[in-house]
Amino acid sequence: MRVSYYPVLIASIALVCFACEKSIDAFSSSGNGPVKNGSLSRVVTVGDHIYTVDDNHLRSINAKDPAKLLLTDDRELAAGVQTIFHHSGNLYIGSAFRMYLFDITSNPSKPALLSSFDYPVMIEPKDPILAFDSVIYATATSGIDMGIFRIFHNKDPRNPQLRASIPMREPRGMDRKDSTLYICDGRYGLRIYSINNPFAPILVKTIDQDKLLTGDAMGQNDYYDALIVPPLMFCYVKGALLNYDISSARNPVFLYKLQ
Amino acid sequence: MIRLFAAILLGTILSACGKKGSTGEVTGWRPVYAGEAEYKMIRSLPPQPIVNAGKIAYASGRLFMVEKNKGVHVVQYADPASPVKERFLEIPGCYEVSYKGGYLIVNNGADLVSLDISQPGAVRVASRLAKVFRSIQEAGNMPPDAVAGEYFECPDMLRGVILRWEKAPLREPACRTLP
Repeated sequence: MRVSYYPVLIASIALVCFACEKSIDAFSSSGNGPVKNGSLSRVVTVGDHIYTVDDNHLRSINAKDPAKLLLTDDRELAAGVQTIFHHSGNLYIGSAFRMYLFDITSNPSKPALLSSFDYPVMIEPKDPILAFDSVIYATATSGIDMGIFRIFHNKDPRNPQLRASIPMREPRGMDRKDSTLYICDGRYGLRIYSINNPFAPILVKTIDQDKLLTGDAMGQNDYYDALIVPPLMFCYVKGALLNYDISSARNPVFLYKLQ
Repeated sequence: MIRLFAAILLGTILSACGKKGSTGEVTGWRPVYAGEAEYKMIRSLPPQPIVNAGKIAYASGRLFMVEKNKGVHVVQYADPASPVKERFLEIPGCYEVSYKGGYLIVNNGADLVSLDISQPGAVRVASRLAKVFRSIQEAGNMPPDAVAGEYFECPDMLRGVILRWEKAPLREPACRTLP
């Protein structure tokens, strides 16, 4: 059983990784490129499959022909699920009470539960997840200065280990470029961390000068999510899309604001 | 048991759902739902201003950004130095966006739909899966003008897309904004 399982797994991971690399590549405009979703998403597209979460369900949809969507699996989870993230053949699902890891390499039509991690303290489930290498970052916030940034060692997806819980203000979406991490911290701006050691992030700087651009109504400039497509980083605030050049990863240059 | 616990905790703590309201009749906010024909009307419009920015996805040289509860802004990045807002896709009840093989994947209320956006200035629903998103808690699903501690009728996505909210007498509403 194990002998036959591994070649399939490795082949699938290779395919998936190839797709990932392509997705953050050049600004091509052909219609068939892969997609990169923000970390707050409730929908991810992986190869020919789409996965959605809503409150307490994980649904799998065959989209080989996107004009004929086909539901292949509907699985019940604990309540409060808000986000889904894909990395290397695993789905990471963030909920108020726990994080789920599913494998989609053995059967993409029916994800298999690998593990779940129960959070010791429940915070309101705005809970994006970012996974890479053997690391999982998960943020959660109550929206009233009671946020948390959790770091897991994910050497074995069947048993992720919580390494650190760092208090934050209002952490929401995040993305990463090499050894630099960007976390949108709501009204407190965009936090930039060095993650040379991914288990011990060091805050390098906070960008919130964009508040000066309008300086108007409360909440208008809260940072919600960041999405990186080199050399650009897209961030959105309530009423605008901000564009940064991150050729120098720890010194983003503000380019323009679409309104 | 865990699910029950979860439901109670969520019901108590979440911003949308406060503790159960008074036993009698109170004044609060009631959602007005769009009829089926109305909420399924998806169309391509000229670019619109960004008011309530929502989730983003990038594919094939374009950034797609949700306008909460209203649709998707399509921004062309053929030249990264000068993005162009190409058009606005009006999609009632939209909060989620992704992409697959030339098709935009979005929620239209509770439904998941794939949209053929290959023709400039046009959009066509290619496929629709009903009732994929039964519960999305977002700002657009709460009465925007409600003040702290006000009661409202809990939104039910299975009843359709919320067009607007109106003040009305409510009988034992289960939702309330944070006090």
